[in-house]
Amino acid sequence: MNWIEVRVTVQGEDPPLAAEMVAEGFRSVGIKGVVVEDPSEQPPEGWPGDGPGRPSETAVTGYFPDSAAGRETLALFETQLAKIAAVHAFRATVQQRRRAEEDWAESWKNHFHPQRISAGLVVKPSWRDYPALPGEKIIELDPGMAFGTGTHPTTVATLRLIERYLLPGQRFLDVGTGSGILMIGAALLGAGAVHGVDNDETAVAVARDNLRRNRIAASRWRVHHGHLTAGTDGRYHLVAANILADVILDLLADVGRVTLPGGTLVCSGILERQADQVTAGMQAAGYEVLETLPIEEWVGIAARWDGA
Amino acid sequence: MAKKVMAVIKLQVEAGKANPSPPIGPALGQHGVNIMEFCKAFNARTASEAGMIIPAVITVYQDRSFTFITKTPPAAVLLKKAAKVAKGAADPKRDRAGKVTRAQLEEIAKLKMPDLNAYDLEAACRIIEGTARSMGIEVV
Repeated sequence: MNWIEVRVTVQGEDPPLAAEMVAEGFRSVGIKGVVVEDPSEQPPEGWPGDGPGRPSETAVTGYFPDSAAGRETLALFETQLAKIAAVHAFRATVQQRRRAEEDWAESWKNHFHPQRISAGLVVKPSWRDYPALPGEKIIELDPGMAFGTGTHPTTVATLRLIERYLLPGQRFLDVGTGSGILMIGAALLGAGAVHGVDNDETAVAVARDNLRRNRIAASRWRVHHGHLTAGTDGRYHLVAANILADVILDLLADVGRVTLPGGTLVCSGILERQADQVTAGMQAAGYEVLETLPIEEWVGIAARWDGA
Repeated sequence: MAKKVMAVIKLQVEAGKANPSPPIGPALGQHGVNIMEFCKAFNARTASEAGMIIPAVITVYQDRSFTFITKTPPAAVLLKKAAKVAKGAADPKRDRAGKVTRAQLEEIAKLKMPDLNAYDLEAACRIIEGTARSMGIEVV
């Protein structure tokens, strides 16, 4: 079955109320699900400077089956909409376009392909085949409700730095583990024990699933719900934190407590313009900066802990 | 983890009934969001509110991972339920679709408070009353 996409843009004194009345108009003809474009909606993290996905106008979109019955319902909706707009004194602009039926449960997967992260690491979604070349390790990961699908520059930078500084058998801690991608990478690169912590319980569950899916032996890993280094177990040779600059600056006060002398801290999620502030913070906290790795507008930083 | 927001998608869908058909499929699919994972999580979260329309705000990050929050049902939906009517008046200036009591209005305002741009209950009540008026639902 094909569909007619009907997008109603509203302009008037009270766009949110007008949008609610339009959504109500869709529901009155039996179209219960709608998409609302609302320029006032703020994501929890705020919009980035370029805010590419931010709607510029208030609109409500509904879908009608492209059939005789569907077109009849659409005609009824248009009559209702004209009345609603007249009564509530807003201007409604209707755009229609045909949408071919698609297997939406599957087609989003077209966005994801195996991706080489470094010389030895490749991330692939479960639905793609990828024959590993000699020496390559494959992280299998499906995108979902936890950050870290492998396609983000901050994830790539962190994995590359882990690959460079982690030695086989070492203890690894991931602060803010998200999907668990860094833990899996570290385990595949030979870490002895990989521990992860996240303050989001969904991420904790997702990370556990991903570690199991990648067949990392249960005795080698632990993921727990907590804030930064709280609840971690002993000290680690390498601590990774792919979070955000301000969180990393907070972490610096405390992360030495869980890092072995001579151990490495790998930080990411730092915008290029924040890099100086973070390296200064690291030096003040007793770290020796080993390397900064820029990818697009982000940098990853590796530093050595010389404290006791 | 480091997150850069790529899109915010606001949906209104029936509690417990999210599926990959329109509007969810096309709205989320174009951003590469794992649709089945959203549907399962939304349905689990809203299972106890069967029959209600629940707004969901989905934040999509640059690596196409996502999170979402659910909000309180639209005021229009709550008002119809309180007034026990199927729809609002076609011409609210002349027709009356139904009635809600002041206490019912306050109850809706209290429920909607977290999602409204209102400093206090009185301001929230005024917003809900505005919606009621727009629907031809009288406050008695």
